[in-house]
Amino acid sequence: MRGVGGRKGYPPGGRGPVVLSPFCPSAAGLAVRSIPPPRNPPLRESMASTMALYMGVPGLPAPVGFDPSSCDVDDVVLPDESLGFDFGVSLDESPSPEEAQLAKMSSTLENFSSVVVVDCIPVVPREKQDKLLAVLGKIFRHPEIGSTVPDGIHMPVDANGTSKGFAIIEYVSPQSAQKAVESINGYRLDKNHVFSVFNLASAERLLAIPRTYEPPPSKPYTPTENLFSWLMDARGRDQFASRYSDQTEIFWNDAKATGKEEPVYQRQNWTESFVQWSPKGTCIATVHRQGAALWGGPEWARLQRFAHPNTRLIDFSPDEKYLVCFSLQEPSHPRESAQANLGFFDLRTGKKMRTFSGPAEDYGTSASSGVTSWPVFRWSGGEDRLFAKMGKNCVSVYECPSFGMCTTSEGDKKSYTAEALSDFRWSPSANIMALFQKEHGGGNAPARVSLVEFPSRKDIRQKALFSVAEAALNWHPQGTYLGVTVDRYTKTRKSTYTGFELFRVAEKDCPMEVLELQDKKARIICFAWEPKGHRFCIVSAPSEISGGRTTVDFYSMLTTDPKTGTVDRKVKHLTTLKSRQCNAVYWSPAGKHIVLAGLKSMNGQLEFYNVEELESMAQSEHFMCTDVDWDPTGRFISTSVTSVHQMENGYNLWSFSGKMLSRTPRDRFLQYLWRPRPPSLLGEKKEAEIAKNLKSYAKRYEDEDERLREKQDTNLASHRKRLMDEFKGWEKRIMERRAFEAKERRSLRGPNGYISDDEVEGTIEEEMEAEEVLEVREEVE
Amino acid sequence: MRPILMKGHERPLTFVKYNSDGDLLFSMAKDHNPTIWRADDGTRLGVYKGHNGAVFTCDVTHDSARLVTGSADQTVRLWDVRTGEELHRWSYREPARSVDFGEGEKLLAATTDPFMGEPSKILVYRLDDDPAKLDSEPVMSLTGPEGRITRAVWGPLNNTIVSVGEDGMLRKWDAETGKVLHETQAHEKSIVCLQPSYDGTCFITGSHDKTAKLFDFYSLEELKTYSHEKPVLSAFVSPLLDHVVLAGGQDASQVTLTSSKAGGFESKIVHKVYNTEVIGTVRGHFGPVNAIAYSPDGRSFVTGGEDGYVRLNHMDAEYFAL
Amino acid sequence: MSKGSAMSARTRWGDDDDDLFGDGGGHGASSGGAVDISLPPPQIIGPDANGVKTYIEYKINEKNQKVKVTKKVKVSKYMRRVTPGMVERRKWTPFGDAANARDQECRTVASIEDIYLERPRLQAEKTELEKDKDKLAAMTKDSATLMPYRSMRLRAKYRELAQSLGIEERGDTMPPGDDDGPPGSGSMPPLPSKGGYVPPSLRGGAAAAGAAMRDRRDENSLRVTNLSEDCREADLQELFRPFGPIQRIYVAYDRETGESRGFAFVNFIHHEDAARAKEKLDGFGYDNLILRVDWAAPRPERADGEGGGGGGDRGGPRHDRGGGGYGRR
Repeated sequence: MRGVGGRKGYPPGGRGPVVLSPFCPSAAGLAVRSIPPPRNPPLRESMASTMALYMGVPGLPAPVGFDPSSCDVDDVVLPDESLGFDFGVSLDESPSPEEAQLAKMSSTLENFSSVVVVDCIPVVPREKQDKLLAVLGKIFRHPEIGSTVPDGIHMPVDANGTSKGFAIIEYVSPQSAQKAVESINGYRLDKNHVFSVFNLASAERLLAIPRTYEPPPSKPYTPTENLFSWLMDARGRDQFASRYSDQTEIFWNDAKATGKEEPVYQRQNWTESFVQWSPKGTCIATVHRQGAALWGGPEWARLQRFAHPNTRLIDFSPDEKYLVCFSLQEPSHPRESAQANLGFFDLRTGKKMRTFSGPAEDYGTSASSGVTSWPVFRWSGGEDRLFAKMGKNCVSVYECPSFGMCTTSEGDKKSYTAEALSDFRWSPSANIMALFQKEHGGGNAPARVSLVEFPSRKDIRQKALFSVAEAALNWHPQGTYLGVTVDRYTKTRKSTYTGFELFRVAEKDCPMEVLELQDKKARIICFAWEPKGHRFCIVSAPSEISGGRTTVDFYSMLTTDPKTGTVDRKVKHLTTLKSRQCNAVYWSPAGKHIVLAGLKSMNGQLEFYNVEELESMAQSEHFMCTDVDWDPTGRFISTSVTSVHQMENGYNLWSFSGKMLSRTPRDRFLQYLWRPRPPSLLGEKKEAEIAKNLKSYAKRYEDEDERLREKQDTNLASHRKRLMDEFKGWEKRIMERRAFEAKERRSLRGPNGYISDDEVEGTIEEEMEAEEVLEVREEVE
Repeated sequence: MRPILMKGHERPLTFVKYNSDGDLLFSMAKDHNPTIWRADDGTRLGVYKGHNGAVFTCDVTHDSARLVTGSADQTVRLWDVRTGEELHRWSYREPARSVDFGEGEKLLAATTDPFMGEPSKILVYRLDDDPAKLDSEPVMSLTGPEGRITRAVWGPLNNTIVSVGEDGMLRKWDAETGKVLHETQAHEKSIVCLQPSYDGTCFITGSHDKTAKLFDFYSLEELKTYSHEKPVLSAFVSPLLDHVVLAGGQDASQVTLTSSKAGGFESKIVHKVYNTEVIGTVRGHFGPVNAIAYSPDGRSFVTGGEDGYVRLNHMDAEYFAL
Repeated sequence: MSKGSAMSARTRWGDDDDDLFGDGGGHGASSGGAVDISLPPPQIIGPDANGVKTYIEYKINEKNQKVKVTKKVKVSKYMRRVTPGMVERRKWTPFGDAANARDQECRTVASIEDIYLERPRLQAEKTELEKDKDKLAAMTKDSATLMPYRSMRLRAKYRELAQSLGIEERGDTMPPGDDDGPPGSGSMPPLPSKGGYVPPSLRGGAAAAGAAMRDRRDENSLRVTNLSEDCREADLQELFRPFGPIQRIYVAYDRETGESRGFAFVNFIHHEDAARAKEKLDGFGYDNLILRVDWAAPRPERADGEGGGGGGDRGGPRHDRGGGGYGRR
């Protein structure tokens, strides 16, 4: 090992190695920095070798203005320090102010806490080292981490000039070093290289480990919150969260038995903007300026916090493993675009797994119009979670838990290209993506709908569509079918007509059917699949003028002949409902029932329809309602008027059959959210068995309800009795007083006045008749 | 039931009052014409001509001989009920807002609004049967609070005067000395109505804070609170059943964005004791209901609305079974 | 209704008042004003031993059919105190403006329609539900419908369905506390379950209910003119809503100024409601202007395409539900 700076080698245990580094200004242009020897026990092997390598130096960048080739390093002789030359280097005694400053900076070196070592970087020959250094620089000098000291990245090479596979990076501040360790440790550069980053200061800790093993003190077991306690409600009630002005409240919905809601939790200013339940209902998230927070369990303790300043929107992964927070940073210049920042957090630990940031347009938003389509990253439905983002002519698919992009078969991390990609949707139950590409290539390449499986990128099905203006993809909630609403140009290309392509994704080869409405010119308003069923509903505005009325059609993909039991796998029209006031449909999550709602201009018309029997159950109205939500079991429906409107804010609760159960006005009403339920643990067979034997189960619950109602009635009765007794007591007292005063009153009225409050001389009684209508019958003759 | 609609006023109603026997009905409105009607079939009996401004208030003597009215034309006038002749006039520099005969009708309490720097006032007059001997000077003048006093009534035995105002305060004044004996913040917003019960034991107040409250007339103890979806513009205690009736609607100046369903142009009958139980509602007015009163026998009630209609509702037998 | 016994001989004194003022009849479906010679005269039977009086009337409905209306009422008597003062006052003569015999400014009329004491929420909504059930039942073309008609078939079906989902359909029973309430605590007895009040819109009988649903829109359309500039759709909603459910209101706006051009069209669901509204509001003083309400001349409708499902964002994100909705925002 040749030491630069005039000392040949170094005496063991002596002053320590010297390293050339353009750090300290000095007369000769040579800077000397001394690294004090590590303190107590000798360095461990790897440390020692590391330090030795650091001293080794051959690859160290040259100081400014110094041409290494011009001098033989060996010839450089430093004056003997014992003579008093210290070259302006901070030593132990009496430093000048600047030296003190430098001493402070370099004292951090004593702890190595602003130095990190990154291991497992690629081993590259000399030619590629600069490139590698540049890459390292980009990674390690990321603005979020901090800046390194000048030339602070040092990658040692061996005798052949090949890099050794690790690098040492010195930051200006220990905080930066800490951040580097946190964020870059585990960074996957490519398939074979995962960075391992650690702080040099932690080396000390390693050295402090005692030689003998002592078992750690055992912490007493503190059970964490039971996040599923709400599912164990004896009466099987559902919860909902309601938000108005600055209050957030969570209630049990007891509409069935008591007709009221039972409050569970109430908190003012719980959230700064909105709340959202996790997809399985385990916890609820609130959004604040600093990020998001999760709450759950019977006491609604805070489970986790996620730091992501200015979060505007959040999204959960369907399996509740991850949380995505989205924030938008306004540009400082008008011509700059806004920055979008998305952070992926592990739900349980709160750890930030990955961030995506970039100009807002890349993430489907713009600062002026806000988010155009959220969530930007869509989660797949399959077991291994993937998430994907639409880019220009491509889809970027990422996988968990590495949060890296999925690789192609060649092992490249590339997005999946799709020319003129207009929309993509994951299947809710599998890792299959449906893509819609518009016409491109100047009309040469037709529009296309394809089903691609990820991560294999295997094309499952493709269909070219001709003369297409626009299409929308609609997956069945269980992933059984895919419906594509296609707006096609007519021959003249002046107008469009709509048809539907229906894919049976669950069957082999994804057979497809085409469906066209009888009324070709009808404009489609809404298309919705029946959850857990095989039906779908289309709402269209007929081409003839109808004064705002719409037509509702029901179809089924699968019909079973009740007599023969054969299953007909063809799209079949079930029924048409004409002239309805409906512009939105809400299927029950259990299927079979649907609410046809006329919102917005139709001012809250509601029709409750039974699709199984093809019968309308009830027609009602919630004036000016803006939202309709089924509870997760499909028993109740809530309709609410949010503060979009100034008046009439509040929510109504209905039974599935359209009976209004309760009405709750609330000023400045904002959100009504049912708590979702996790999927049933029963298998299909068990569910079918229960449905068959429902009567016996039902009896038990009915009895319970009856008892509850009775109890309520008696409670009410005793409450009323109490009120009445109290009031009667007051009345008695007052009347006594008045009786006492009666004499004085009479005297006030004077001799001409009336004698008493009641009797007046000469009063007679007159008979009056009152009629009460019993019945009115009308008959046509 | 089939309410009787009486359209005689061109402008919104402000106040309605039955006479003591319940066969006459007096309606006050912004059209300057206090009107008297027969209470059983709603036929109009007469109009008292003379006022030049909206009439806000009235009271009638027990023998139904004299009517006193207060108006925005800054006068309080005394009339002969039967002939319509004006018997006496008290003039002020401010609108008169409330009038009330004391027990025995030897005393009159009138209030005036704060106007042009003058604060609100309660004025007490001694009355005489002979109109010629009526005194134009008050025997006592009480200066009220800064805000408007919306109603002032005599307390039991004329010992006190109870007033309510736009500041939501309820005050009890000593009728001899004029001192404030007691005051409470009864409502959070302006109190616009105060109606004693026919038996004189309690009174009910209605406020823009969407509640009406029942008070003990002696102690001013708050007995009950009835909540409503809209500001309560008028309320009354039933003399027959344990009911109170509330009426209201958006403050007239704010009626623009509501449908009739939301505007609450209905009168709501609530159980007096079980104050959260609603007996029922009676719709019909095309605008907020400004005035409401039960007849002394409790078998009917009358409402006066912003739409200028007076509606007389004789309750059906079903009502009395409730 | 309470009135002097002298008046009880007349069938509907409200109608008589109409005649007094010479307005004639023809106020909506249930008026007896216009007497048709071919109709048999009205009858009053009773009161019988139970105090039940029966009024039988005949009228012509919209379809020019003769309809026999039988109304059973229970007559109860009560005593009213009459003081000498009251007796005296009965002799008083009108004065002031009231002295003008045919004072056009003032009208006292009995309301044509019955106003009900609407019981709190569940009761009110129940009537709505029954109305619809009745409409459905009416479409099964029963010629003699008994009011109120309950569809046993439908009810049984829903009960079954509700049971299968584990909900007890409360159906006809009253809300807790109103039903067979705890005895002796002053609770309210239930409304008479058979008979009882019938919402006016159902009184026209099955034929009318069916007809109402098949009415062409133009027949239910009113043109309202002489509106003030700042009159909005919501104001008209509030003005016309008491007459019945409204299908649509269209207010003509000036494109530039955004003000109302002073006229609007109101479409009712039921023709009778429109007729009543026209009768009541034509000439009605509203916002310092006298409204004019007429039947609208048939005119082509504009295509009213309000698409899009679901309300707007209210503080929370609306996720793109891949499976439902059309997805276009």
